[in-house]
Amino acid sequence: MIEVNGLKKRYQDFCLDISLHVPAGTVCGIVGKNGAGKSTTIKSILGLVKPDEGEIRVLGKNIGELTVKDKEQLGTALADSGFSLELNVEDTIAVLKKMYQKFDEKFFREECGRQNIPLNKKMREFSTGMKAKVRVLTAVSHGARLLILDEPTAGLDVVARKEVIDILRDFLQKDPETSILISSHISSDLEGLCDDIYFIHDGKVILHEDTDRILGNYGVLRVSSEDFARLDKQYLLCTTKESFGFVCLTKEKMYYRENYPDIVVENCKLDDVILLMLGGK
Amino acid sequence: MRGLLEKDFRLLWKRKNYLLMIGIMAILFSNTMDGYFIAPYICLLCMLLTVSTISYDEFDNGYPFLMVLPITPKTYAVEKYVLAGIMGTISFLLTVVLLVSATFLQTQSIEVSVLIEKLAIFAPFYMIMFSVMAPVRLKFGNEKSQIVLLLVGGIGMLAALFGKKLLSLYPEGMAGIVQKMQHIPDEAFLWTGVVLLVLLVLGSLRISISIMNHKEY
Repeated sequence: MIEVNGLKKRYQDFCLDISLHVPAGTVCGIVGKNGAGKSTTIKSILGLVKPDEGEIRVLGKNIGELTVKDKEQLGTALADSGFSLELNVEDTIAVLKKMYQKFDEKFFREECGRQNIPLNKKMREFSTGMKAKVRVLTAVSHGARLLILDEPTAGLDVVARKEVIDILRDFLQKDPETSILISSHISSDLEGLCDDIYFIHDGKVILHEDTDRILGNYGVLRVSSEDFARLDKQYLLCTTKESFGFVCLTKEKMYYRENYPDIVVENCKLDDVILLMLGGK
Repeated sequence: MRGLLEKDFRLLWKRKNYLLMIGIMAILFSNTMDGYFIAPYICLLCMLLTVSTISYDEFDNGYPFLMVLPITPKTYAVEKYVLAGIMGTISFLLTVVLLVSATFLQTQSIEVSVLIEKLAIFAPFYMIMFSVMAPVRLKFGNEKSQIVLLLVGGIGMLAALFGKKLLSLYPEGMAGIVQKMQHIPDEAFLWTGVVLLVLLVLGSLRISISIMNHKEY
């Protein structure tokens, strides 16, 4: 669905250099700190910024060759951009009906009702959560084959974030062949949704791994300096010095659990990976 | 294109109070002052309303979202010119209706063909103004474009002064030129004007398309 090979985009003090692949029927996440390059990657894939180098293919075509028909198969939600906030949801329905041949008005209206989104209120008066839901509902309501979502949960409270993720889960259940590329700096949002995750830092992919492997095989070791000295380090990805000793990220937690039963090996979450990969050596 | 037009007309309708005020003022002008004053008044306001839809798109960082909808940057630019055409037609029809109604209320008679002929003068004014404003607004955005338009206006004034100076060098002066031009048939004069206007609008559209194609969002 998406192939990005050697994408490079240079700004004054930032250089994005990235390759990624989103196969059909998969959900792929991009995680990283603010300013890591997530939005630039998404905008390059959508053709909103022009890369300096590299190849981007979406739905089997070079990004510049996408026709209006092809774009109808894309569902997009951007964190800080949407319909004019002067419009209300009824207005957006009228516009979407004319934009997309397959716009499912009934579904859109039902979902707005389910999410308590008022149809006749100016969107400028909406809460952040309501605006985010309208953007995501817009993306999923016209039979898209590929969703590209940039920080769809940014600025939302935990309840609203869950509701947005639930909309995406429902979308995936309808057609398992659809794909999603989603970026977020809140990695917990992606844990139960994504098949694989790209960790981005300073414009580069620092880790690409299956979510199940991270949650199942990766672990965090908290060891004293003496324990660290006798530790087999071949499966450690990175290490951080702490006051009590060392915190290490491993991709083989079972190896350490079996061979070092006296040390603490914790299960790993995506946040741990980010914290240790970015803070560790 | 249809979706974009729907969006823009709905955005314009959000300013219905403003539109209503324009209408009331136009009715007052058509009944009290020289009726023809309302032609440039309505014409200018309709053009500003059209250009304001570009500002609406720009506000709240709306461009990235618009450009991922099933449209192309070219469609976006063309739609603004189509909208300008529709708004221009509406302003023309509104002016005709208001002036005919005013003369009817004042129990006077008016030849509609003469009226249309008089109002047609404002069409080139509308087209030239929009052809300059649209690409400037698309290129420089809401705030910077105001400075650029002031500069363009200043350059236009300087060019006019320079032209006047050049004419003074011509021995027979302006009157001589006008006299020579009187030999040109009206049709040729009219069609030259039409062709120049069409070229201006097409040139402006091409520049606007190029601006949108090269823009990053």
